[in-house]
Amino acid sequence: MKWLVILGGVAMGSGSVGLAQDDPPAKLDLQSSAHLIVSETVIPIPLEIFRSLDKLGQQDWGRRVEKREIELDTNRSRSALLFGLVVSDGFIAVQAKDGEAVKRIGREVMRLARVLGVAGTVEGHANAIIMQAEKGEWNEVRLELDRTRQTVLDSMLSMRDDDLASLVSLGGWLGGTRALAAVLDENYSPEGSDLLNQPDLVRQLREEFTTLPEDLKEGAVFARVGQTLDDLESLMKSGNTGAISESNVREIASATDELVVAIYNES
Amino acid sequence: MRAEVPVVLLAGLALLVAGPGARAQESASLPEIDEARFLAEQAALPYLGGSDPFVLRESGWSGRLSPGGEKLIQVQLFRRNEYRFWFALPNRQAVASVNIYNGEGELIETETVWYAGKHVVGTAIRPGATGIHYVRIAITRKSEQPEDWSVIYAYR
Repeated sequence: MKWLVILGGVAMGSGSVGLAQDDPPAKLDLQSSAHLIVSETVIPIPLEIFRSLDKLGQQDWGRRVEKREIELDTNRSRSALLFGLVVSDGFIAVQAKDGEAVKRIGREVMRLARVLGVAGTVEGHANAIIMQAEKGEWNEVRLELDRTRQTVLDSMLSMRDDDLASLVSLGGWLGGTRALAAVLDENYSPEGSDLLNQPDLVRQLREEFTTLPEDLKEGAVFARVGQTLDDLESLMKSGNTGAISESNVREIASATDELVVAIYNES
Repeated sequence: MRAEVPVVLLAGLALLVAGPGARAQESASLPEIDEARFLAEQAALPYLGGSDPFVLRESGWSGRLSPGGEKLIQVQLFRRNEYRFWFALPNRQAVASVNIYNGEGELIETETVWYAGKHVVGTAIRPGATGIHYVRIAITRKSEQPEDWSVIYAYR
């Protein structure tokens, strides 16, 4: 019976509203070791960022959809990065409502999932992406892409492949940031540029990347990943207004594009 | 616009309607439910439909928290978006508390909504600036042992 009471109260949204809680501190001492910070980082998905940018005016996302040939090799770390990149390409294709691109990306997701040993958990999502794209159900495609990404991360964590999961997240963030920076570079506005104000997030990504075992970072492209993250952290620091300068936006666009091309081309 | 209610969430809802007995019976054939996450999703449900729905992220945070304890979650938020966070504890006697701080560690005043008692709580924010924010969660009373917890969020 208690379950039904909870269900009724919550499902109808009948919450009680208030401001007083446990008398939280007005200011946190973020340097204090007394604060226990949850270690898991949730990376924003591209659509979360694009949503904000679109509030400043519609963007031509179709120009950001690119068709790339993916040559797979035995390097699972690169495949993990590629998986993240391909899913972020999927989000861009959804934003552009490009059904053919979404279907192609759904098939690439499946191909990469096989290489990463997570095909079983991804297959249903990949099929749903393709089916929903055929119907033009963009909200469903978007949800399936996020589920695909999370399913792969969960599968990797359950297989104790935490390090590969970090690379999937990194690839996803990189792909979204590349598209965002390209749009901002083409049509700069100080107001929109604040979306690249992500130095703390980049620092977290860099720290995670730095602690990965060296054998997971074999290949020239991984040295480039570390260097690019270093560069991005300083390029993404904003001034008092929160805006990123036009020249920094251009450098961010260039650095992320070059890194993405290098990841796709290294095999 | 089509309402975006996750199928998994609806399936769980049907399970709850059937009652706890049914949950136990079905446990052999269904995946185990993360009760804290489930309660948080229940609280989120009304916000995920309608003409301007929030989009629930599949990712979230979870763990165990001692009575009187607190934890901070770092999350990158983007100006112009609106965010909702939900923090849930399965123990119905516990009182959950959630607050949001900006990147400088300054408390942002937000409205708090409790659901079905005070073990599930939600809050909303329209960030004044893009950047890292801190979500502070705490159990304030009526809990004698460490509690499982879950935090989820949605944006629009």
